[in-house]
Amino acid sequence: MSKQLNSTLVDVLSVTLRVPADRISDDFSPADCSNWDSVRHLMLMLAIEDKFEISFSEKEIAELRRFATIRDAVRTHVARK
Amino acid sequence: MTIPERTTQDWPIPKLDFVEALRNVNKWEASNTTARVIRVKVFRNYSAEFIEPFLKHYFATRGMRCEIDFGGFDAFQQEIIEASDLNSYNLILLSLTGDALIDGRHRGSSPEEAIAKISGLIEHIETKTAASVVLNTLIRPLLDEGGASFSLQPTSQTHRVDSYNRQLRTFVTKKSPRCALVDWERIVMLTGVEAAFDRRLAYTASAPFRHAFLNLYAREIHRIEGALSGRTKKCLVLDCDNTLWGGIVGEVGVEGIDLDPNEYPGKAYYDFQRAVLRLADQGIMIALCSKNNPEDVESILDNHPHCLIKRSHLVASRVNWRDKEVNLRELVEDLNIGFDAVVFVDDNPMECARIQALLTDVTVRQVPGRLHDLPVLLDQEGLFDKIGVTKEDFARTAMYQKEEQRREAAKLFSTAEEFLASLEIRASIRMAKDHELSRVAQLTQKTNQFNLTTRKYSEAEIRDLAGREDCAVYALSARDRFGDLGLTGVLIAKRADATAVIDTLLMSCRVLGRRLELQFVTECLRQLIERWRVGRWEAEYVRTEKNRQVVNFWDQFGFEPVAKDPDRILYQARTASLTLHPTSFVALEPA
Repeated sequence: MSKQLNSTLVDVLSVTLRVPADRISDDFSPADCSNWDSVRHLMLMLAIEDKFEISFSEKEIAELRRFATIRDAVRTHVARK
Repeated sequence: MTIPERTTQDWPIPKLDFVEALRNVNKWEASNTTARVIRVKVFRNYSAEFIEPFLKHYFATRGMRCEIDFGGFDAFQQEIIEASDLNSYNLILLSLTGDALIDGRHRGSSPEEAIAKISGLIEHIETKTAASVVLNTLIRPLLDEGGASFSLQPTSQTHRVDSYNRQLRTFVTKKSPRCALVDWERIVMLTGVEAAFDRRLAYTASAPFRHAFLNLYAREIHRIEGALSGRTKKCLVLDCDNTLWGGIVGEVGVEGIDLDPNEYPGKAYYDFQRAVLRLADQGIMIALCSKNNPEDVESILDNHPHCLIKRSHLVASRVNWRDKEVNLRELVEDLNIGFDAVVFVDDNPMECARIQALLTDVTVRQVPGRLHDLPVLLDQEGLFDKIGVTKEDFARTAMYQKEEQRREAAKLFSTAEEFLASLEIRASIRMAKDHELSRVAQLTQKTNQFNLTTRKYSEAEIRDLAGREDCAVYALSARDRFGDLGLTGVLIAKRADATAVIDTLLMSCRVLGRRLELQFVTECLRQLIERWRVGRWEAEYVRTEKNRQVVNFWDQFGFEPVAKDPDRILYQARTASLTLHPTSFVALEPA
């Protein structure tokens, strides 16, 4: 389950930000990806919410800007469902 | 192979996952780099960017690559006034939410003032581009201050939005097809409130709409573009038993069929017939193709008290025991349309699968198993979408029926000339008048066979051409002793120095076989010589799959082919060497 969550999330980032999946490591952040601007960031957050049927708080939306952090947040939300 | 039923819920909304849409679009664009491009400009006052994958997805389903440019956030007024590149777009979206537009607390933001503002912006856009503008209604507040009764007060936001929407509808109707409208409230009705709005992002990022809303908004925009460019269906071919009524008339008799609007399933069939007639009223051709004894079907059409569809609504009928594929081929030939213009409805999954397999361009729809879904079967996909209805649309069925009478009359004459003379054809050939331009645009979009270059123009583009000094848009209207044939020929010429270039020549198929095309071109050339006094001529034949019949058309007028490649022949002529073909049996009427 956890592994699948990880690969689904990698896929969402890869498609939304248009980067190859193998470039997405735990530390992957806007600094590694010129496509990851503020509009793309919102797009990404909404895409993740849709995919996992969860809802981030406004604080999370503002702060989730590193792959591992996003994954932890998704995990917490999914576990809470 | 069976065609799966398309309907699994009462109001099927295309579910489109954002990531999947984006993935498919990325993949499609990478492998279709030469696809036709449609350029869209979005003026907006909210974060509208998330619509991009959805819009691209819908256009890709029609083989088009959609390129979208978003104007600056809430800078739409300034940008429209200053824009200098608008004519490079095919479609303009003026996508505005209500908050800033009409807010009772600010002066200058009453519904009337908001409409005046929109109307001013449209005027600006009109001077800069021929592209159509898609507007949207506003959404009334879900919870009104003061409750339901208070919302009747003119000062309530509900009342104001309502008033704005009503005025906007009137405005867009007047401006159609230059302007078109998406009803945002309807989208919310379809998706439900929860799926439509995101209050959190409305506040933090000015992005009030969720993906489900943007998906349907994109679908509506795509439907409008399809209707504007005339890429919709022309003919509906219907089976009879268990499609137009319930039961098999050969078994249960005329009295035994289900068609009573006071019973179920009779009401479902009755309402389906009503939906078919609404299409007929808009100029969609209705035909029957069924395996029945013709007397049985005629008896229902003529005498059944609840049968709304009468023989007078049909352009053609193939009620017999032959193969439906053969019947359909014959129908398409008689009506002079392409298979891609046909929608075929049948209850039998075998027939549906066969037709789909043998005639792949035909759109096949099976009568849904849940009969209460039948009445809306044809409304859901926008197959017959159109913007505006012309005079010819209203009269189309009658014209095809008269064509049938003409075919009968032709049998009485021994030579073609004798027959043509007996038709007493009268033609009017002149520059197209203002009220005819929408029909002219429609013909450029719909005529595939007798069309030398197949250039498709929107009404706005035709209006632009007709208004130019160096351009002439000619129209042919004709009638004969059987009746009016309507506006059925178009010739567009452009002048470049001392050369007249024939940009477009087309004739609606229903007037072919009368040599009217010879008289039409002869008269246009004559008038152009007088008007422009040019010495040289250029004309063109651009090959398509459907216009073989006109490949050598220009030769008979004294044009010489000067460049030939497989897809295109370029012709030239001098005025002195033109060969004209006035015909004796077409009387010209004064303009």
